Amino acid sequence: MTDTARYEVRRVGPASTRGRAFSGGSARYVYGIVPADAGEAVDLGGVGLDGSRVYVVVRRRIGALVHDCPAEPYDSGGDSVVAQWVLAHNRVMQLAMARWCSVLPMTFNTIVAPSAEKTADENLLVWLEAEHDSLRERVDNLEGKAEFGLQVSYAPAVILRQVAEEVPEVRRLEEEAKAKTSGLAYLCRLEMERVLKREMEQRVRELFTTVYERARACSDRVTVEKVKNDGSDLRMAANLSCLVALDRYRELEALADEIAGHEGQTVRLVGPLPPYSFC
Amino acid sequence: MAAEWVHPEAGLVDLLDRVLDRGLVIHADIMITLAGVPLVGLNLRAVLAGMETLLADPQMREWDARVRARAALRAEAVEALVG
Repeated sequence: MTDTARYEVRRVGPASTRGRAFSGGSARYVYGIVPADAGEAVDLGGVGLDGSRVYVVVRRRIGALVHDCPAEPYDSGGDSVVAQWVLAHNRVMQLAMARWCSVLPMTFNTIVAPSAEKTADENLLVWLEAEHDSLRERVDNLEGKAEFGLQVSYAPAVILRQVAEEVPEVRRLEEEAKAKTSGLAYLCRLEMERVLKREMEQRVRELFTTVYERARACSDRVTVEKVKNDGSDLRMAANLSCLVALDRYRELEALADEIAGHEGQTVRLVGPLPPYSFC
Repeated sequence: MAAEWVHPEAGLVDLLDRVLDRGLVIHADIMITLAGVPLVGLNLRAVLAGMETLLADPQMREWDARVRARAALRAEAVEALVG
């Protein structure tokens, strides 16, 4: 990283929630890094947070998408405000992907401050220069690629029915239970439930493995996310983020459709997104 | 059934964690640090994850109960069918 002695460390306490409707200020909110050429002056207009004007600060072959802001982090307890900020940050990244075919997104609230000797722009340019080669290599590697969220869920009731129909051990236990006295039948049923649960868990693991392997086959990279359940009857078996090249989008879509074609399985495919999970 | 294809602009829940928690993080003194500042969107994330949080702990028990209930139903159905 850059020589820290040159910069004044700024620590900002809990921020006020005062309005920021008008962009402007001594600091620079950085959305992301794009491949750019020196002299390329790009103004994306008021597409940023709270309608801020977003423009590109270029250093050699690297550009930072920024807007002017006060030297304090964005902070709000208001859900709708945060939602609007998140959507705006994403919109800027989407515009960048469309224009430059590559973007390295920054995390939310990445703000370059002015220091005692330098303006925020000067600090940003020094940082871009220091990190130039590494940043350029990373945006080049992301060219023409986007992130997709692939979430596969299953209906436990349907899988359970399939297990009951297809696993001989379950059928055998059912038959045994019928032939026995109530006490022994109860034990048979307990055993049957244990087998059902084991087989079901096995199928869910297999579903995950299949989805993961097939997604990997058409992606540059795949990361496994925590499964999320929304309280519906469905259970999530796989939650993946896939980095996919432009010419392979169709393969991932076809995979999603194929998985969704199986009874009891549903698929959400979100994207193309900026590569937030692959920075 | 075809996969549900969510347009990138549509899924706030998909964007929230990615935009707030991922992306490149710069560790340099020129950055404004967030010491003492609560994480943005904590509340919103809690709301969107609300159901999940409720289910997180009793999830296995609930699943177990459901499996047992279905198994009993299945056994009854089979009995009704055969017997």
